[in-house]
Amino acid sequence: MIAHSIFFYFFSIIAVFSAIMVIASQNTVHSVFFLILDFISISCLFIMIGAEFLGMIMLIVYVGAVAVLFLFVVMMLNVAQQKDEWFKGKFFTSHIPFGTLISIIIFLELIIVIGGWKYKPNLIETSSIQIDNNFTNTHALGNVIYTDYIHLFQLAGLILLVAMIGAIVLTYRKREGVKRQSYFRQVSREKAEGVTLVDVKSNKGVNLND
Amino acid sequence: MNYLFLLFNEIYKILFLLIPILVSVALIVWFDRRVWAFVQKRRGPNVVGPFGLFQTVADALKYIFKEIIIPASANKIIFILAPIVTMTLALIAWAVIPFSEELVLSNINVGILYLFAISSLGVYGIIMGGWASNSKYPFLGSIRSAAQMVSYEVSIGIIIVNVLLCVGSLNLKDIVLAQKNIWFIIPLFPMFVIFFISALAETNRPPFDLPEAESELVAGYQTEYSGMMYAMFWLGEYANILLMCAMGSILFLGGWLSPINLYPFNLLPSPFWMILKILLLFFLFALVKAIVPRYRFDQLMRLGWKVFLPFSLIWVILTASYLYYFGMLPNST
Amino acid sequence: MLSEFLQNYFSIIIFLFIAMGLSVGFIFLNFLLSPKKPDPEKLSAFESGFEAFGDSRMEFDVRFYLVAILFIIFDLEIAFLFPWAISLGKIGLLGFWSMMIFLFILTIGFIYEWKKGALDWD
Repeated sequence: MIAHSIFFYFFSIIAVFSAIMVIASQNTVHSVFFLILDFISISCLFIMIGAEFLGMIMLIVYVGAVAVLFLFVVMMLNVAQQKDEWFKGKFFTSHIPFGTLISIIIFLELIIVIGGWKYKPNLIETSSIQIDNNFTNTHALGNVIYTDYIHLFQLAGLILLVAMIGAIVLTYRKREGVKRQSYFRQVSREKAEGVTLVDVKSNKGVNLND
Repeated sequence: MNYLFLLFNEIYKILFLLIPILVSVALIVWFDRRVWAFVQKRRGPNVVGPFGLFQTVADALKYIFKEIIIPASANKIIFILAPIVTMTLALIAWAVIPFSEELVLSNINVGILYLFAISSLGVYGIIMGGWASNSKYPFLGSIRSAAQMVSYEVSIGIIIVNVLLCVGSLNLKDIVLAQKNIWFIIPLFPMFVIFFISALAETNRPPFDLPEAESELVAGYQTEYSGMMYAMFWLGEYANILLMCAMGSILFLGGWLSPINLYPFNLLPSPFWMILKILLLFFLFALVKAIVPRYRFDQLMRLGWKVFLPFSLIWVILTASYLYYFGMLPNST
Repeated sequence: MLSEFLQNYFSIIIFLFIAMGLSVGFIFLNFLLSPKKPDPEKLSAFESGFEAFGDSRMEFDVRFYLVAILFIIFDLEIAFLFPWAISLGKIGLLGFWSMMIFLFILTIGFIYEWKKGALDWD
């Protein structure tokens, strides 16, 4: 068990430290890199409790996709200019009440969740997933998501649809005056439309505009 | 005491894997340059050692003695971290590759997801390098490369799903053993072709080497790098290419299985077949580099999103329906 | 003793440390052995021989951002496909059709973005 606890404390210290650095770091791009470190150490913690599939999906989706988007957004903002304004100007102070309110609400919710789980363990029924050592947890998940939890699964699909359409509506701008390559026209062009053979008389030249 | 023994045992096994990988990366760089040269009727590197085999070692030694130039405007920590990330990720992915039924460093249940996750992290080395250089061309190159790798990752993921439908497990050993009767390249041939092309794009190989297109972006994200840090980018790149070849041979070419389970063939050891298949795929990679002209960026994005993504998704539906209809699905009750 | 399951991950972690040590070692060796003769021209950002125009921290096309969002959505779709693919034999017809409906919903979104031109890169 000693090795297990060494690794647990190693990853959780990294996770907590990098979570603090996400908000403490002055440079926004550094914050995103600390966020990535946080995600990686949390996925290691997931693997340590045996949830291999969740750990890997955490790496694939959060680190491989969501953090790339965050990096793009942060790199798109003009970091050098805004860096000081965020920490000094009025802009910063006006957000303190909202931030405090939201964090108090999240903290209360966490107390409710953890308290319920600690003092009334039969509050949430987790009976539909049997722990069975013969299958991997990916199989266990696959056996219930698509049948027992079909409504939640379809809801996830609808949320993804809304996200896809929302992203396009918000960010897509049609550009004017763009010349597009038409592969079909390019390939189906015949010799007759592209080339004209002209018999050039000497000292006369050719009129090309007819 | 027990743990110490375990640790030394692991380190011994890791060195047994790591050193061959580094040596083969060095050889594969030489092989790539030779194939490229032969296609163009040149000789290629042939001076250092027999047939020029030690060319890469000589290059690496040269890089170690080169000056490290870190641009004054660069973000120094991330600038140095970028090649470390690239090379580390390219190496640790090899931990799960099985070379025979027993010869695998770590046989995890979600092996294919691990490979997919590590290859999706590969984008960070490039973004970090491009951003930290604080120079125009590296930045443009890294943004381009991020968009490109991300687009082709989607089709690689869907192709993996196709193979998983026939296997019923995420374990790499199970994926290979499921091909005992027929290699998946035969029923899933179109997926193999798409996998190969996506692997070219994922590893920024020609014809998809737009992040480092020298006619537009000087050398892309590597422009400001010098010395060993520059060398580590291409070491990582070649380790990634070899990894993609290994992934292709596990998913489609039956991994370590011999082509025919008959007397003279099954005498040869399993790792031999695995290495032969990786080399064969790498030979294709090298040939493509020599004979195909570079794509334009809009063509690249069109190919990824409008051709490969819908086609592989339709193929998933076809495979699933076929297997379901004929009752050929694995683990069915 | 570690369970067999964690032992496999243990070797990956050790491998991670060794690979990191190797990469740091390469750079360290380079630092030790290389000459150090910096000068302002050598240390300036590359711009084909003259002073750089403008700032390199420029704003880039919003389209890259759109690609990243679409990637997240399709990555999640693939994350849902993985467990489905390996347990399709167990979950039967209901599981099969529930995934078909899910894919159909996402195909509507895909057709919308195709028609809207969000996949064109010009």
